[in-house]
Amino acid sequence: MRPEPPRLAKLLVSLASSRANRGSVVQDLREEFHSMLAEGVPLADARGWYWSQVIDSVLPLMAARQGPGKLIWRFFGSEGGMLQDLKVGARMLLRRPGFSLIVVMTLALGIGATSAVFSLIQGVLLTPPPYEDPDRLVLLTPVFLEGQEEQLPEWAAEQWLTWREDAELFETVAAYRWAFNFLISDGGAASRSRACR
Amino acid sequence: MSKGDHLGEFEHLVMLALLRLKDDAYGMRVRREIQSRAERSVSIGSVYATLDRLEQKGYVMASFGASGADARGRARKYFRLTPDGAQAVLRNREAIHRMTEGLSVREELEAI
Repeated sequence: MRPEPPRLAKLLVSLASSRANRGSVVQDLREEFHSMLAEGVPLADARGWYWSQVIDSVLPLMAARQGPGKLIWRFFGSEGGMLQDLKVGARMLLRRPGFSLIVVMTLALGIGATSAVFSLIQGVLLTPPPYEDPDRLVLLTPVFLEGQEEQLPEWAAEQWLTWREDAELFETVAAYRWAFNFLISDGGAASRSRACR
Repeated sequence: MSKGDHLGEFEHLVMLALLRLKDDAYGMRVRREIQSRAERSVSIGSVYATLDRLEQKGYVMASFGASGADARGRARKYFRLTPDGAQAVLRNREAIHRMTEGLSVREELEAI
């Protein structure tokens, strides 16, 4: 019995072709397949050739069915299509792996650095502080009455309580101080943490 | 000349193959001609897609020829250039000639 081309491949190329070309494409492929066998090409090689032809043909045939101007044509068109550009780009990158590596590293560094800077800007400048009316918050910096330029390094808790009770301009006064190595307990398990109080 | 009148490289190769093959220009023969002469791997789908496009541009016309039939006796679809298609090939050829006139590509390559 005469060997025939792979059925699935034949079905694929039939489905991809327009009605006007279907018969010609399938018949041309079949004829070439049999010519190869007649020339002594092994059956497996002839089938492999048939499959490779079908795989390479499906997209251009589908694009031609859609007609120029359609999106698929712009992507898969055999000339000037985006797929063609991508193929050429990939081939050029593979041909010069050293250059490609430098390009990829440069892009990675550029994208990474830009992301880091934008994350910082987002966190520090764009995200509002986590309390209400942050624009009403002011920082009080006490100084010596005698006119010394040095700031007071710290003051007594009583002083702060007095300010809080007597302040008329401010709704309230709070104090903070950097401190380290708190012990935080959560259901018996304790962990150390740095904090501000 | 509108943008659509220009020939792409593969379109040009297909039309030259049609000129070479004369009355024997059907899909697979065109594919083989380009593959052997231009030493370029070509799929039958690309050939038919390009022939369709050239037909829409009015550069190629198709007919089911009586001059040849396939192994099952079905009429083959043959393609040939229209006068507009022949003019387009000529224009392309002249444009390439004008662009390469006086250029020694080999010397230019060596200078690079």
